[in-house]
Amino acid sequence: VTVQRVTATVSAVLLLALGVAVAEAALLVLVLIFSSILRLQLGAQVGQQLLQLWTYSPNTVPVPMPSMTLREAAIVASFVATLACGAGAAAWRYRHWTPA
Amino acid sequence: MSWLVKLYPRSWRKRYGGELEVLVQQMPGRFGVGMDLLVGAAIAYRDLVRANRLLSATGAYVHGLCVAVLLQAIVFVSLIMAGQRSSDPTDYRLGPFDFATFVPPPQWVRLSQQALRADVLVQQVAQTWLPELALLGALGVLLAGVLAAPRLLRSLR
Repeated sequence: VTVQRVTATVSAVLLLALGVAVAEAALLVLVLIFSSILRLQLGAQVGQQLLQLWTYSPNTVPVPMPSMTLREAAIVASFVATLACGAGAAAWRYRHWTPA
Repeated sequence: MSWLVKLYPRSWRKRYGGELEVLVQQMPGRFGVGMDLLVGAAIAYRDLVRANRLLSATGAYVHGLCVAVLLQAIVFVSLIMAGQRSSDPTDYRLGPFDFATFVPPPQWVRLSQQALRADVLVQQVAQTWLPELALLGALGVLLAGVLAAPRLLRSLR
């Protein structure tokens, strides 16, 4: 029974993590698409590393673009908010579930 | 058209799959029949999920994740719109936490763009904000659809 419980807990945690990872990947894709549409120079700063994304079109004169740099706190807050939203909805449904 | 029967849950197909396949083969292959089969599959999955507490909670988890992603995308576009109102860099911070920095293009770019574009202020403002507003509108419609989806699924019969 203990092994079953441990397995169930590990599976649930993995499912939660996988869900958040897929959701964050989808959010990243959305942000990249929006940056391209809005002609925005997007940056993400994690620790001492800065990752920047430029939109380049070969047929136009390069013009300085507005830039948005996301810091570590924003990335962490995004993960936490996504997990909290999903886990909150799941917990609410689990507690208020009634057989159909 | 009978291949659509494979979209139904396995337990449902074990019980009713044979009968449904025979029925579908006797019917003309129309678009309406295909749509009925798709809606029927959605209802079968809904009933399967609703009957199980864990599956129901998992469905709510996925729904919550979708809502969170859309809300964050709306916040991202809103921060860009808020940053564009100022010609100086804008820091978004809360207490000791620094979340993001928006830096608008240099003043000379703005001036040259103003010279190149039509000098009607309303038109210029509309051009500047139009992509952001369009994105916000699309995200709002998407969020409304995601929020209404469970109720819509419940109302299917």
